[in-house]
Amino acid sequence: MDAQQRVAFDYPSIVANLLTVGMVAVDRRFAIVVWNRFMELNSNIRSEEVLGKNLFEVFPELNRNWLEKKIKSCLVLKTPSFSSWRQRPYLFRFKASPVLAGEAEFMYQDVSIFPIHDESCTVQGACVVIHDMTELANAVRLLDQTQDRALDLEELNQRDSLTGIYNRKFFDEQITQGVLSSRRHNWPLSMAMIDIDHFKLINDTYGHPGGDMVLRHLAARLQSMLRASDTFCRYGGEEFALILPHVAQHDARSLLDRLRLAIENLVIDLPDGGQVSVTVSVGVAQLQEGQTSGHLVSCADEALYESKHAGRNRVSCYPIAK
Amino acid sequence: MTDSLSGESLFTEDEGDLLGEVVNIAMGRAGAALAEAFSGFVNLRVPEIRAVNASIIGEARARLEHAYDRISIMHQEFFGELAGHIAVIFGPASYAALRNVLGFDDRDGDGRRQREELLLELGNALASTCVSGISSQLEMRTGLRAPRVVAFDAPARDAVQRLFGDLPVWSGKTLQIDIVFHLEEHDVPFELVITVSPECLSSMKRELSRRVMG
Repeated sequence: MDAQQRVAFDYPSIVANLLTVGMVAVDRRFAIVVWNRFMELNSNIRSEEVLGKNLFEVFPELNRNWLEKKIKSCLVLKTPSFSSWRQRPYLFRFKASPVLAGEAEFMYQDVSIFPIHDESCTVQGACVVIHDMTELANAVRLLDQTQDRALDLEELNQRDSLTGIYNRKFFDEQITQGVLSSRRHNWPLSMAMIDIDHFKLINDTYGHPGGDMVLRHLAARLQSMLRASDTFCRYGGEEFALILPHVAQHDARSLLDRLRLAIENLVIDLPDGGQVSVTVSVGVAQLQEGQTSGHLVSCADEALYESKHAGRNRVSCYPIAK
Repeated sequence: MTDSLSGESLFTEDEGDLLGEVVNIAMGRAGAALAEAFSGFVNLRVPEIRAVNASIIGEARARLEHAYDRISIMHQEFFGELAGHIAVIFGPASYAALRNVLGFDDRDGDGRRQREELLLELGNALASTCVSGISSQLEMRTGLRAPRVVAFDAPARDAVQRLFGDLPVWSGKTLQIDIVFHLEEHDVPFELVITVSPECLSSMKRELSRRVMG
């Protein structure tokens, strides 16, 4: 004897009272035959108002072409069909729980549709099941936002706030990486230290706003002349560092000469309406076998010192030809 | 094709032959149902059934990366007495053709989400008809979980990496069914790969053996 014979349960009420999942069943002509409690409470429409009525007449805002096609193919294929909030945020536009919603203006829904048949196993309609996915959708949105922010912060953390180019911290990471991959793949790596000549004089004459303007313009001009694979950083004060992967010293020298000339020809408009031009001194070095990144930076520094010593506005290479 | 099954001792020769028949009948029914549900559909080739071990993944990856430049992949899980995974691999698709076949209008536009939805709709129709055909003939209960897009128009290497990265690792042999299908007037074939979970092979063998005896 099965349970159904022992106790006279009201079986339809089991589904009707289901509160956590929406269930709407329709017959082949889309007349509503089940409208459970979840649907009643979220739509504010009681089942007695909709039972027997055409689904699309009661809810003209439903995407009829899409849903009708979906239900029909489910009836023909006799298999379930799905729709996810990721592609289609909702089927019925319901208000989301204010606790779960976050910024969501409506309830995100996953939908599954399965065929329902009569006692002789002939498919007679379809059941549309609605799952409230608002909490997950909200969590995913927050996660995406957090990831974006983390990326922004990481980017921010690598930049010099005055000039917008990379900072010293990023330079230190990149030069270490650059030396490692240059060794591993046996390709050349050069670097340059670039220092603005008589920068103290500019600050003294035009004040710090003038000095800042010079730093910004110079950085922008140099950056615009570099490849995407080059790393250009503000090393500190008026000193800049440039990492040139896949570039040997000879080519590095030609490039730095072009950069030096570009700065010599650059006229910078100052905040007070005046104009100023500056020059730079440059030291270039190529990574030698067995060298660490620290050695390489010292060599470029030494070449820079030589440029200053020899009268400024010039490019010197390491080792210094005596 | 069933030789490789019995040859690798997953099933006896008779069981392997019967499984081939079961799958062919299931695909025949699936094809008929799909043709009724969607216009201009479809053209299923004779499915290939194989006993495979985990090393097949390496081969499958290499083949897909070689065959396609960019692909989209839909993945769907089925669970219960008959359990496993289905991957549908779409080459460069004509979404206009898909939309025609599925009969959806353009009301919702042609953005990425709409395109993903077309792939999910078609993939689910194929996967669910094939799997439910096999499950009903073997009388093994199964249910499908919602499909998801693993990769959308991604370089084949990345897409395949994502698909196989998500799948559970198994040891020993399992059963794989490869089905290639076409849309009419659409040159690009789509591939459906059904991988049966190793845990259900013994009950599948029991069902096959019962039918061979009976």
